[in-house]
Amino acid sequence: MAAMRSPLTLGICVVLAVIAPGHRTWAQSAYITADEPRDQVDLHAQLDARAHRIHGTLRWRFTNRSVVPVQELYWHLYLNAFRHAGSVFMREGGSEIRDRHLGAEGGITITALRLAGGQDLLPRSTLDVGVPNDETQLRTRLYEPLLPGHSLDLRVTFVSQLPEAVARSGFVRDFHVAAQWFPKLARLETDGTWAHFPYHGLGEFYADFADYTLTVVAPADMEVVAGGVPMGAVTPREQQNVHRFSAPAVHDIVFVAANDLRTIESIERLATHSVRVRVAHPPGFERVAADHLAIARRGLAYFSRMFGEYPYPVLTVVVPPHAAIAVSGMEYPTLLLTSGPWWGSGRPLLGRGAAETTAHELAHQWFQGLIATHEVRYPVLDEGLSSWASGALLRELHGSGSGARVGAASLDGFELDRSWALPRLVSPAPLSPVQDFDTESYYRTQYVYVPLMLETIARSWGRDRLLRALGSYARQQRFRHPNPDGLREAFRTEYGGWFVSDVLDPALSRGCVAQTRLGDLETDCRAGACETVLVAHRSGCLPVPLEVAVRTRTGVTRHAWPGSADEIRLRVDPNTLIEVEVDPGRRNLTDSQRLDDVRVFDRVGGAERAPGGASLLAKLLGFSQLLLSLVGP
Amino acid sequence: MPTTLVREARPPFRRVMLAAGYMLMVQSAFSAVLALVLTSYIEAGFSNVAGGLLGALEEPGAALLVEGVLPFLFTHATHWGTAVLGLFTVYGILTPLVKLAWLAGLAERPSQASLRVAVRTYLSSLRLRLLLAVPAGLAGITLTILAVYTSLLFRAADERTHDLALLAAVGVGAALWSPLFVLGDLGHTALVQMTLSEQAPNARQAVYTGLRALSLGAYARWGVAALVGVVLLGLCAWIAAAQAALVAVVLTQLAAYLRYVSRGVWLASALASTSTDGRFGRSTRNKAP
Repeated sequence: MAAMRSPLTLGICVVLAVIAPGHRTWAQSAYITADEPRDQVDLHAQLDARAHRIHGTLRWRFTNRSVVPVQELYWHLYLNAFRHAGSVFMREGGSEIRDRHLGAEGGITITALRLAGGQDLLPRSTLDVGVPNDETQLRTRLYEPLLPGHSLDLRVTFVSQLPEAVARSGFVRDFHVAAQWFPKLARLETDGTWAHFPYHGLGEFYADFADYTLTVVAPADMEVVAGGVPMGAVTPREQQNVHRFSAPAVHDIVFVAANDLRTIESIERLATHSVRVRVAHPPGFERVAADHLAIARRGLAYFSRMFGEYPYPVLTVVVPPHAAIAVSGMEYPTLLLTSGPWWGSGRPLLGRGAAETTAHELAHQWFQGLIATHEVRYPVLDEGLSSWASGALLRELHGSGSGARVGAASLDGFELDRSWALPRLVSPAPLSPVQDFDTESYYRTQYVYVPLMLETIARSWGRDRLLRALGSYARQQRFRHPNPDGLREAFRTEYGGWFVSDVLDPALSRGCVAQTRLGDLETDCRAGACETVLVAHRSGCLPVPLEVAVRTRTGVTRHAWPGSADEIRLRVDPNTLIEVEVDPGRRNLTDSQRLDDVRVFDRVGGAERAPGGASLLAKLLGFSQLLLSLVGP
Repeated sequence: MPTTLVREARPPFRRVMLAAGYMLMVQSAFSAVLALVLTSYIEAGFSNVAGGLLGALEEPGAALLVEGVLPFLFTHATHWGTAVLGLFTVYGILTPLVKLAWLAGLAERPSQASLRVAVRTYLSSLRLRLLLAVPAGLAGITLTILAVYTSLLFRAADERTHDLALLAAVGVGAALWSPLFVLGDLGHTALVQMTLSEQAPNARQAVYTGLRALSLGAYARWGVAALVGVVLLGLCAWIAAAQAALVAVVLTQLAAYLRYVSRGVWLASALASTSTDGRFGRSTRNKAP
């Protein structure tokens, strides 16, 4: 009957079809967070690009959502970490993450702090909160207790001097990243305690969900992107432009301003709404920006399926110039800073490609952005989970080449990490707070061990089960502030209580691994009869079920090796034995040394094959010939 | 006779190929020693892991790198590196000698005489290398200045423009080095010519002779030989990577041989250009009593 429709009906249908996706794009579901009623935060920033300074005002409607009256407020003034080399951030090696040294210093100066009614709170405020040489926290005594459920309106005027970028926040030439740039209230826990802490070298995030609005006044020749949704057109005002953004139900807001920042964008349609994905990049990065955009879109779809739908209408990816590498690889709600050179590509490249950083920071939109955990106290719920999730995304996108692809050889990203970065002993354990780590141990524990441990669980007990457990955790804790108990509960539901006590907890609290090695051939004589056995040994406290493959001239036999057994004794016939391998399916990724898991025997005669076999010698001869030809006379 | 002179000045391919064969034998000997050092090192020190390494090597794809080579290198890199470095030091010391013998062989000297010429010219060859190290250092400084200056000049430009300009500057700077390679070859041929003509080899004189012989044509011939050598090596390495071990060895041998042939053609012409009578491998200078 379609042929009988009138032209008018057809026209209406066409118009509806055209406008419908637009409605879907901007349709905004109501956010329900754990922090209701949410604080209202209105920020105004006037950027002086020459002085790299922000003149700001802040209006914060704060509600006491705890069960006790609030006597004082705690603020985080994290830009003060860059005031001098003695701050906690600098002492904990925060600047070493990107191998930078503090140049031009930064800091926040509050020039006025009062209640909406005019009562001055600045004289009642102090930077001395018990952390020597650190000015990243401010305590303000209220005139009168704020009762549970009551609100107060705070008015702050401040000047933020951005530092020359050494990490996370600052400027490089005209490229400005304003992160941790305003006085920000710490999170008030339900029991009335303030979760306040100095700006640590390896951790910074933990805050209430709030509704942010941001106005940035910047020079007219600068482009500005920020977290949240751009509101209306940019308004010119006296050689300056006014940029407005709205970011409801987030716990932080940042902006990036630079000359000649270009933007490409696309729409990613999720199950219930569409997301405008934007990539802002410097000139010259056009090709790689398209790769970042593609990865961000596919990542949004994948993570939304696995961990619950990305709820915001916009995601902004900023590609910083290489000179600003100090501020690259950072995650903020609805905005992330990726990394990579202009000549890069979207393919993984041994951890250095465009794909890895974008995937990792995108995973943070869930593990820290939506599931707003205490990064300093429980970094494993933030960096650890994000590292596994990004590895899983890269496997989804690139299969066995998730680490890199060199010619016909596919390099698995998890295997690469296992072979060159997994420590034999994981210390401190993943559940430790960030201040217990140095940069190196933090990387090896949170970015290497935790994802490898989770991938081991996925490969040993089933990927679908792990995804269900993590998906359940992510969905249940969405817009909340869980601790590890939330994760334990999700795993308990999926795997049972034994799994939490025998696998998850030992891994998280002790950094357990499963190291295996093959022993020598032994002759075992009992009751007058002798037989040849090969013993495989296991050490470590992660009870991963393993398999041992014994290849003989008659075929391959696979022996199950339960996680509870420290060794397995294999009766073998030395006359037919060819090869024995522990974990041939490469499921256990917590074994840092695989060379002692394989033993090759001579195909004829049963003696272990001489290591300097003809094949190896021939390969090395060819290699030597080429090498010497390059350096020859 | 002009016709005779022209014919004799052309590269003597038979000698070039024969000398390349000798060179291949020498290099193969070194390659075999290097390969044996590596394998015996595995046997002696890592018998426990060697089986695992071999097992890993049999796995396709990433396993070769991830399971075998990388952990092996990371665990034993220091000792392994020391052994290989030692071998390369020996190789570096002997390389000038081998090169001189090669040049003498290209000049149609019997192998025993070639070795004698090489030994007599060896110290002068080292002095020649020292002399050339000075302009090489200056070229290095020039390259650095050029790179830094370009980087500063394009500091305000976008990164792609900056990087491409820097790459061009480095390319131009690196090109400053290439005439020194040509000069080095010409200097060595001059030294061999001196020794062949019964003169005492003189490095400074060899540099002058090399400078006189340095021309656009010589530069082009050197460039073509170097390019052909590199392309052949790369091509054979690429093909050999997917072949069985023995086929790979044959291919790499072939690549090395062809590389010596292409370089031999250039060196033969260099010998001719540093010869005082313009004829290949024969010098009559100062022969009169």
